[in-house]
Formats: sequence, C-alpha cells, structure tokens
Amino acid sequence: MKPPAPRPSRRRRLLTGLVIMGLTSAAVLVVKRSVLSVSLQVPLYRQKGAEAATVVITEYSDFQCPACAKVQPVLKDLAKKYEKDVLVVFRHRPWNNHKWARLAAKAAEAAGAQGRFWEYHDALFEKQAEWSGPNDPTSLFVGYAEHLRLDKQRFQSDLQGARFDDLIHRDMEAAEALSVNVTPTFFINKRRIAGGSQLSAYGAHYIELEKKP
Amino acid sequence: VNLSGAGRLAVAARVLVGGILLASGLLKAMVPAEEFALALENYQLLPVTVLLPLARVLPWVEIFVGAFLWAGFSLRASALAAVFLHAVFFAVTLSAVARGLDVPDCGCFGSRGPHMRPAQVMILDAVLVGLSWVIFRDPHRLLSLDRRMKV
Repeated sequence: MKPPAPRPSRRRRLLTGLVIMGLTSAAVLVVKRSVLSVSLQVPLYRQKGAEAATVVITEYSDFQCPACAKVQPVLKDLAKKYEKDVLVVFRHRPWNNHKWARLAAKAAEAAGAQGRFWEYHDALFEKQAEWSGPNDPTSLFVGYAEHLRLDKQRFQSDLQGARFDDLIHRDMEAAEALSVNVTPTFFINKRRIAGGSQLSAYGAHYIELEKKP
Repeated sequence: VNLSGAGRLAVAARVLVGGILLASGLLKAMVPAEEFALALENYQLLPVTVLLPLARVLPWVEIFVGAFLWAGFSLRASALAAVFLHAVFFAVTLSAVARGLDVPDCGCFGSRGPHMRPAQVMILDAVLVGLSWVIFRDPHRLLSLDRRMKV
C-alpha cells in the first residue's frame, strides 16, 4: 500500500499565501504609482481667506453638479470657523454630461476678471435649478452679472470668447492628474475628501491636523 | 490533466469569479478610496467614519480572494470568502432597492469603471454566489496550487 503524501507544513502554506499577496500588492502599487506634473496655480480672484494660511482647502467643483451646490454651506462654515488659518481655492471640474457646466465656469471666470468671482460663484450655486434646464442659460448668466453690477459688455464678450478656455482646461488637466473622478472633491492641503458628508465628518479634523506645526 | 465534467466547471468558475473579483478590486484600488466611500454612502447603511476605512480595505480583500482563486490556493476558504462577499453585496443592494433608494452607481468597479444599476448587480452577485459555491464543493481542484501542494 502506498503511504499517504505528506501534508505541506502550515509554515509553507502561510509563506505561499504571503507570496501571492505580496506579488498582487506589488503589481497594483506599481500600476497605481504615477507621478504627474500638475499646475496648481490659480488666479488670485479664485482664492479667499487668510493670506498667510497654513491650510489650503482646494475645491474641485462643477457649477451644474447638485452635490457641489449642496456642500457650499458646510464649506462656508468651515472657512468661517477657521478664517485665520484657511485659504479656500476654487478649481473647475466641469463634467461633459452637464451641458452648461463649462459655460457656467466661463461666466464665473468672466465675473472673476471683474473682481466678483465669489459672489458670482454663490449666485450660480444658489440659482442652479434656474439655469440648469435644457435652454441656453446665457441670458440668465448675463442677468446675474448685471445684478452684481458688472460691466455687461465686457462680461458678454468674455463669456462668448475663448479668453478663459485655457484656464479652465488647465484645472481639468490637474483634476485628471490628481484622479479627481467625482465632484465635489476637496484637498485640505494634501488630504483628500470626496463629497459633503466626508467634508462634514473629516473637514475640521483635517484642518486641525494640518494647523499643527 | 483531465479537464472534464465538474472539474472543468469549477476551473471555469474560478477563472470567472476570481477574474471579476480581481477586476473590481483593482479598479477600486486604482482610484482614491474617498471616491469609493462616496459611492457606498448611497446605500445609507453605515456612517461615513466607518465607510472610509471600509473603502480602503475592501478592494484589497477582493484582490487577494481573486488572486487566491486564480492560483487555486486555499480554495475552500477562498471560495467561501467569495460566497460571503457576493452574498453581502447582493443583500446590501436588495436592501437599497427595498428602501426605494436611488443608487445611480453601485460602486462595484470604482468611479472609473462600468456603472451598474441595482438589478444588474443583483443578477451578477446571484450568479457569482452560485459559481463560488461550485468552487467550494469541487473535490478535484484541477490546475490549482492546493493540488500541487497536496492539501
């Protein structure tokens, strides 16, 4: 009678399992690791808060995204609570399936060029339901600009021209390089947050951590 | 190796279940965990503070179970883990449907992968539970490390 084959030792099986896990982890990490050069410069009018801030909150957002509108009160509360420590920076991440998102981004830039970016930003989010429908919102955008007493002709010219296309495109490239696949996405310095619930849960905690020298 | 009958089915099941687990785990591990956690929020089952750690760990569990199935290592335990994972995914999706929640993206394949509706997810998970059970019950363990190591 043939003797039964010896069972592999527990140690050998453990080692085999660890080798499989190690190889798969290494493969994933090698593919995942990519260093891309990203331009993180934005116009001054898209920055607000403490000039000597140690904490920068960068928001990647789409004016036509409902979640981006919904998160604004949370972001404002944080910015107010930490007004001496925080600089808020806005970056565009308009989605192709949001028909008017790029036009809205251009409108905000046009307002920014006249020094009213944040007021226009607030108007776009507050009136999102009004301009997000199927009809071209250009006249609404011009109306918001008039309400903010912007130079109408200059605003219209900027909105129709290509002056801000590169600026918006640069933000989108940065978002792509940073793997920003959802909006709103925030970076508190380098700590990432996706969506309003995470901002509520972790925002203050991350700011406190980043404030520490 | 004589690949016939039940043994052949089990090998095919390992390729399929392991492949899907590897793909879903890899696609999620490639994108930020915060985005997967955001997709999980749609199910309204766990607090955000639990979802983020879960979103960091779950893709790796899927990757390792998938790799073990492909390698044929610890097949019974790996198959049981696959049954458990897909049964949980099925139950979570069913619970979202029962509560009338709108889940536009199941989050199964990460924010850059294919987006599936709840009905598609439940069909896929039911099939994968069945195939994982086939692997668990398979006595042949053809083309596996277990067989080579004579476990």
